[in-house]
Amino acid sequence: MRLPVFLALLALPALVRAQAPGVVEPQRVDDRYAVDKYINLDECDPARNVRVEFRWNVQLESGQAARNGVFRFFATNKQPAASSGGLAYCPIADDRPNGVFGKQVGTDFVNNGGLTTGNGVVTTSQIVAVSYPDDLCTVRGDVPIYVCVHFHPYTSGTAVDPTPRGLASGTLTLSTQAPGAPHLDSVGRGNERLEARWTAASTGISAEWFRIFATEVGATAPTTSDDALGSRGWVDGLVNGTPYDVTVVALSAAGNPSPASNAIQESPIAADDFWDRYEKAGGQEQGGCASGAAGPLALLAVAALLARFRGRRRP
Amino acid sequence: MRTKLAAALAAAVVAASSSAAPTESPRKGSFEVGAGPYRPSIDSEFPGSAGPYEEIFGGGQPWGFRLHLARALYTTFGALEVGFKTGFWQDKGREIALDGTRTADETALRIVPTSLTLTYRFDWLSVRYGIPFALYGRGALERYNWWVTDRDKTAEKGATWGWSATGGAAFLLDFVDRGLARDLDNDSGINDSWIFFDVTTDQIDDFGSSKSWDLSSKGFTYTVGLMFVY
Repeated sequence: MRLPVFLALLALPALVRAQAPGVVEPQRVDDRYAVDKYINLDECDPARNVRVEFRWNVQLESGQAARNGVFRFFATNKQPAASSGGLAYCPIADDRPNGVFGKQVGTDFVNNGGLTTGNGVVTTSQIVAVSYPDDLCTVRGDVPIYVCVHFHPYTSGTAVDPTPRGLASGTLTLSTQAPGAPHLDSVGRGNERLEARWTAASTGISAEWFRIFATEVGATAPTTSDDALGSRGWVDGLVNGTPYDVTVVALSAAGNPSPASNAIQESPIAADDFWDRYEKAGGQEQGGCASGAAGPLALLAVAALLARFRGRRRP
Repeated sequence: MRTKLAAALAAAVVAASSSAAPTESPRKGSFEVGAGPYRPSIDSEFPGSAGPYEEIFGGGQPWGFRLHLARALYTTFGALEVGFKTGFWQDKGREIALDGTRTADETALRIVPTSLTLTYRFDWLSVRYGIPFALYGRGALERYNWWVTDRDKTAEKGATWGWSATGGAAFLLDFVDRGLARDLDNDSGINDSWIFFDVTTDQIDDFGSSKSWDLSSKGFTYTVGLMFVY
């Protein structure tokens, strides 16, 4: 009785990760890619060659059984409409007169296990190239990209059925606009850290979060950075007495960065908290329960008095 | 004008006393929520100059809140109650750099006071005649559990014992709407709802220990809040 429960618990992480039937989703980061459904400027740039792993679980057409074949990954700019097979497959070629762009991305993913699930790594710039070939990374505003995984079973041997028999689909968002540069209002000193306060730009798209950079004066690359929400935040891990140029960059929901704010130079400094200050002033408190037994004894005395009072009340 | 007001008040008191419900539930104790300003006398150790407390936190008196739960020992002529009180208070300031300037780093003194209390509340006039006022006195054994933070980390912590004495006055809110008060008693067992104001003097220094700081309030402190007798 206990063993099946234990085995089920062991399998739980895998179950949680499993894709719902008919769904394809990005799963993990290629270092720079946040696990979200955005393709941002960085991920759009072919020179950056950002790759993302997708996982899918295809839904088979009625009457179809799972078997060996290939999965093909498609992307398009228009929402696919349901076809005669009952599933909404992506277009496999451009229909330029009607403004529909869509093609296969990458090569076939072989499915020799007879599964409906699979995974594969796709380059994000290629997804954009097939769905928005004329605009690429200059498209304005947030636009949808529809992605599909078509399942093509083998007909005989490794001959692929040209007609797809199963589908997994999902939606990504291509977002190439960035917020305006924030204005860095002030930088406060802390112990091995600096506090930046800024005002977000009133132009451009809204900023979702901010990244604070501290660059040691004279260095070409930032020494360290920290992320923050709102209008203030700390950058930690600095060396007291060393001057740093602090700047702030705003980021959109997709992660597109604004130009850097103005820089303010400041140095972290060692500081006393209240307890340090109290001790240095010669304070007598020693921390802990300094009075020793006085407090607990008083408590016992009160308890004894109460017990005596209650005893007198009883007949 | 004054005569009219007095007559109206007298009439209301008479009406209230005549309509006092004999079907009240038994009085078992009371529950209080209150708030008031507080400033510890830590700097009293450093006479003649601004002490570390004032240096870091300035001269303010932040507000703290408190909860008090008490059990009645005696309810014949007024109420004698033993209870437990706790709450939370904190003061925040900026750390001071070694060159004497203030930094952006935050430091705080936080206190969770806990008290064992003995309260006598003279509410007999309210119970017997419906006069909506009560006076009370309270003695307490105090233990202030405190900790100092450096940014978000605890720099030091401890506990300081002491005592306090409180005197207060309360106004019976049931007087405003007796029907509602009766419904509240029927539904939840709360006999009376009071709004109170009290004044406290205390000595929180581990009973004069030479190893403790003085968390006694600077002068008298006052608290306002609501009290429910159940």
